[in-house]
Amino acid sequence: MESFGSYMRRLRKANGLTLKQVETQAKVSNAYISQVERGLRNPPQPDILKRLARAYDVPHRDLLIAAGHLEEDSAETAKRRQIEEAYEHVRTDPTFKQGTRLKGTHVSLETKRFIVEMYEKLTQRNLLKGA
Amino acid sequence: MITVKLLTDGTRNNRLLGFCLAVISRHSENWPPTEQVLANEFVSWLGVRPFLTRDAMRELCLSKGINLSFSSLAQELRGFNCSFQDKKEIVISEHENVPFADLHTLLHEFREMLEHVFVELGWATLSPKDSLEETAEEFATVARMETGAKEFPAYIEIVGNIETPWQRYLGYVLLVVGFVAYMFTCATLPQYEEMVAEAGRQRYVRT
Repeated sequence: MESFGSYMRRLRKANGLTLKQVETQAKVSNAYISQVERGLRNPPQPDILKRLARAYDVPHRDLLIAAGHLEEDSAETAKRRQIEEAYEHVRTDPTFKQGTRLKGTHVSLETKRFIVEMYEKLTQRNLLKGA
Repeated sequence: MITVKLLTDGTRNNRLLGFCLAVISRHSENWPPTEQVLANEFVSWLGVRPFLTRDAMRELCLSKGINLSFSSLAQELRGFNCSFQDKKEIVISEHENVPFADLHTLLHEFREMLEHVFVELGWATLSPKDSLEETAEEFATVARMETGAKEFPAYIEIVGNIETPWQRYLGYVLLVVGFVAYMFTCATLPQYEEMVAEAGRQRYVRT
């Protein structure tokens, strides 16, 4: 399983941000972020995560769960997994062509769900089964 | 014969395919065409103009067999296109707050759809190392510029018909200034969008 630090580093890289840029945007010291990414510090407190979530264009809730501040209930985990799996299916189906214009490079769960729903609409297949 | 029949049947239901075949037949000797050449062909084919309402965009797309809708999308998603068999859809975020961004996004989505068709026909315009995303951005910018360039002579003619000399000269000056401003906004729209998005992020962080 991916550690919190490498998850944070992946999010930062996906947004094409340097540590300095994150410092400017989120008002969090770049040295501190670097230490968190390298696993030398515990995950930040929720208020700092809120600022980082905005800089990384991800829901605050995602970071809270990744940091262990919030428990994701099993129903929600199952729903999330179902959407991720369905999205992977859509992405790799050679008969379905799709493309996006995004702000940044992060694809949120909401967008993945939307793409799966468009797939279902066009192909008349049901992947989400009430998720 | 069978191939011709299949293509004819195909292009009847799939006008994007017809357009791509026409482009290939005209530019096969100099393949791939530059984004400017492709944009020029595309703007003439679609009949897109510099300023279009959302309803006009919907009608244009429908005339080419593509469903266009404006919808509330996730914050990071500006536009989306998909195709399955003969069904084609484009969805654009209804929250676009930068002027003309929806037309830019529409052209971006079209470029991605075109590439999928070119690839299917065995005439890809990009190599695997090229980014379709960046190419689609360039195409959208160039295509919007092309729409302006195509309309410019008509405006020159209108201004040329003004009888009073000083009004005519003033008309020319305003036209040139307007044209330069339009081209500038086409070229800088993606950067401007980024600035607006960044400002939004900063505002959110501060609150």
